[in-house]
Amino acid sequence: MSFFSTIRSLASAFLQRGQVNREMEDELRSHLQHRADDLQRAGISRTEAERRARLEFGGFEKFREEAREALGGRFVETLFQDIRFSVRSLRRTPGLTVFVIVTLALGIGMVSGTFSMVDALIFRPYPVPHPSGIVTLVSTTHDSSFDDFSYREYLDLRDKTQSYAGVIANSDMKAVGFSADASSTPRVTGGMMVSGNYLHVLGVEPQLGRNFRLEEDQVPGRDAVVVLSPEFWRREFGGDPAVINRHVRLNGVEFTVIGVAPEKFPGMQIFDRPDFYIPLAMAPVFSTDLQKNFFEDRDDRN
Amino acid sequence: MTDQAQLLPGTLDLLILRAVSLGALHGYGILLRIQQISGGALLIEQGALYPGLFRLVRQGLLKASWGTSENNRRAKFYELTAAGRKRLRQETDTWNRLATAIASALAAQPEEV
Repeated sequence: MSFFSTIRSLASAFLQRGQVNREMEDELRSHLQHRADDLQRAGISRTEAERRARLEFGGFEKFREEAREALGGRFVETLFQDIRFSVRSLRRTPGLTVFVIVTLALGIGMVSGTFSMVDALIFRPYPVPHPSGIVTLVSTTHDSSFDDFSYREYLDLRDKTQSYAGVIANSDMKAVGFSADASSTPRVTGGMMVSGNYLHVLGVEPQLGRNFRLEEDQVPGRDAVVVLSPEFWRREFGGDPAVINRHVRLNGVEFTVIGVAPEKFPGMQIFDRPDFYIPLAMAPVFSTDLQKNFFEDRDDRN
Repeated sequence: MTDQAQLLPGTLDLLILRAVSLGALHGYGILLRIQQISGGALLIEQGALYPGLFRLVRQGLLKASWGTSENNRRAKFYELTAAGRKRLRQETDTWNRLATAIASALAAQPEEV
């Protein structure tokens, strides 16, 4: 029996029980009235007759209980008694109970954790029109066989390879202070810096506003534009379409909202959903190390 | 009251089946019918009738339906099902055998042993 049909039959046991009980009460009351009718015919007043009928009937409650049992409507009560009993038994041996619960919790947690990982990694395709056409390029360097690319390397790949329809780049941003306007307190969000062709190559068109333009990631620090994720848009702006062209602040720097990503595109990350996308060219604004030159240094793979 | 006999365990069902076999009856009617056909010799507590009735319905020996009584009141009427009729025959045979056996055992004289 599946979980839901169990619930259904429990519910109907409850409902029918009410009906069966009502019917039984009706029947017992009918009996008392018939008896009272007879007594009344023998010359007793109606009230006295009813009182006597009730007395003669015997233990009303006791018989009602017995009758209910005979009807088989005790299933639910018995079930609750069993549950109460098991809870009491569990309370008597708290150590064992805790041990068992923790074991079960860990077991279930591990299995469901593993499952959601496998599910995300293997079963869920990328949320883009042609998920099978996407490959991830990984850099191998002398100290890592699974490294990122520097920006210079990305540019070379983008411009010199002919095997791909397009090469996109992205870089995670953790803990960016976001405020909807200059006066409000910044909130910690996570976003992503992407190449200007990012959404375009993935085949993702904003549901609102426009996509990045290619020239918007050409000049470092020039184009402060941001595309919001659909969830973030709803959470922070209540899904207001007037958000386009609004100025928001990321780490205190003013950005213009140019678009909202479509609902079906929660991002390319498996376990993380970026709140917004900004051009890679805006990286210097968020850099904490002024000595570094992300755009020139071929070895800067962070 | 004193000349009324308490029911033996298990005989109430048989009496109910017998009473109902003479025509559909409601609960109180069954009680009156039993008193009538037993010559008022059997004492049945009124409330005790109903658990018995419900049990028989659940076993499929009786079927019940709501109707209007001779007092013009709503009442639930019981009648025998085919299974109930069969059970009544079997129980009657069993009871008669038992009663005969007990009676002859009690009537036994010293010289017959």
